Amino acid sequence: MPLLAAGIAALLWAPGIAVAQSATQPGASSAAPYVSPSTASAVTTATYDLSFTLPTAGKSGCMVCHGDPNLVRIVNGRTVSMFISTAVLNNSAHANVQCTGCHLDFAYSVPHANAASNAWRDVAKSACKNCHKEAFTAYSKGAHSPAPTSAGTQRTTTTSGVKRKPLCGDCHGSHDIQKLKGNPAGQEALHSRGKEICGNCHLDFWDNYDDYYHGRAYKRGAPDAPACWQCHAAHDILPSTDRRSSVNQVNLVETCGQCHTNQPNEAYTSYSVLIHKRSEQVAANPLAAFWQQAISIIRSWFS
Amino acid sequence: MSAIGLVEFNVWLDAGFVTLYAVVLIGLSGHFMGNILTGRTKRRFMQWQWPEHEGPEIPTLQKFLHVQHVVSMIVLAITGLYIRFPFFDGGRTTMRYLHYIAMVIVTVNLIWRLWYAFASRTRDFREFAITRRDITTAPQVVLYYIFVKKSKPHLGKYNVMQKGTYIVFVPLLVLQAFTGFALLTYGIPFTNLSPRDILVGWWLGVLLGSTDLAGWYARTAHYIINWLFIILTTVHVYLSVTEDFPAFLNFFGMSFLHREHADSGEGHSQGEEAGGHEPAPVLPHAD
Repeated sequence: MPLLAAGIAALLWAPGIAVAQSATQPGASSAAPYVSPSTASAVTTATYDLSFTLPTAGKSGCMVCHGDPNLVRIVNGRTVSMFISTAVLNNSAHANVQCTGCHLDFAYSVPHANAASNAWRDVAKSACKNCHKEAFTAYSKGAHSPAPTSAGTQRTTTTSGVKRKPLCGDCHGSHDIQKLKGNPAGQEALHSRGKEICGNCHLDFWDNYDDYYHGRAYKRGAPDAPACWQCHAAHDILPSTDRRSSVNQVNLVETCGQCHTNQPNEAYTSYSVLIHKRSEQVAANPLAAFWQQAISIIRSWFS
Repeated sequence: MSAIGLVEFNVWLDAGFVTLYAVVLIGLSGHFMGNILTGRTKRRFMQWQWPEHEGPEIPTLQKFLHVQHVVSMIVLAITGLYIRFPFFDGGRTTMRYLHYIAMVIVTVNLIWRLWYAFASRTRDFREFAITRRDITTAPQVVLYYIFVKKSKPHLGKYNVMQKGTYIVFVPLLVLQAFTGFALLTYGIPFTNLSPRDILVGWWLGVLLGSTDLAGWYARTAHYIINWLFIILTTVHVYLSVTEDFPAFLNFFGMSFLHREHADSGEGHSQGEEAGGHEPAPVLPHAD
């Protein structure tokens, strides 16, 4: 059964380039050109007749193939796993959602006609809007809105370079999304993912998030230190220069007041200078700059 | 101080106190070299010649509380610095609660010590009082520590510099406890108030227009005093070890080590050769 499942599923992802690593089908050698060099024992599904329709009433149809840990696909010479863990899926917030609830463009038939391009990924990553309407509305108003810019592109320039604007799934992940309401473990897991969610694109802001009580503590896993979105907002995030942004100067009292509830005022919120610009403050201080240089010299002796 | 000034001031504090502490360590290292070059180290640690102490043995309770205080202060310094400069993963909550526990111990110790000094049967506060003789002999104490004189005047249990340091410790501890409690924003049961509201909110908070800003001032003061304690304690430990190691051992319940050395026929004397005390000059009493 695993052999059949792997064989079927492999072909779903574009005939001729998918392989099942553990398969031992005698006809394997005929598909050798499509097999990753690192998977010498793998076979393709070329010898299978896959023109059939899978069950449509649940996830079981998809999991016939995708439940096999050996299901992989060769993409640009790399072996990419197409395995979906049932345990992870059933433990996620979307355990009761059908696969096609998100993978809208996949028919329960093989081969997957749209698997050749990566468009199916964007469909899945954006499918959240069908249920999470409020979040999507907020997201559509923010800097990460998927709407094309005036230049007709969905790419945007960040301080880390030109990036494609993130879709829901780029930040939230996919099959392992955790329920947040009433689930401290899920909240904790989300809270700890600042680097993955924001830092991968906004790397410089991740690096300079190093003030005393927020950034440094957050990076050391402090549960009460704020993740990026707790100050910058999540779906409706805006550039700090935008007066509607939660981190614009005019809104800092309110934003800081989410945690600092004892009458924060503008003088108090001036601490925000340190949150992403502590290194600038340190560089401007001759004594601190001296120590930084001295430490880097001492470190260089041991590296 | 404007709030922007407070940001810059905090950066200056980090750099300034690290520099000051480095200077103190270099100074103490230099002093230790002086001890070696003048033969003080040899007389003390090799010939085991130390000042002798008069009076009754220090009560066990005092020793215990001293050890407890030392441990608590070390815990407070490490956990406090961790809260500002976290240096390992996942420790904030634990370090914060360790800080609270040590804080309570030090506060109770302080209250007990003040009671012991001023209200108990012992009432030893006079031992810390700086008299006119202390002041007139202070230059000689300083000259002894900078190796100009071979001995220092012996007026009582503590010399003028020790008295001065221990006296300064009390207001610093009170201020540190005050500013430390002023950082707590936990609600007090059956009230809508936190320790911060009660200690600084109603006056400094009103002056600054923000209780949170008052808390920031309190945090800054707390940080400054933390460094003063680190520096004073470092000097205290250094001088305890180099000037009166037997007393240091005694305070940590290890006086048997001193007795073993003393019984083995090695020296055990006071006076000029021991780098110890000389009789006090005859001066009128200050009180």
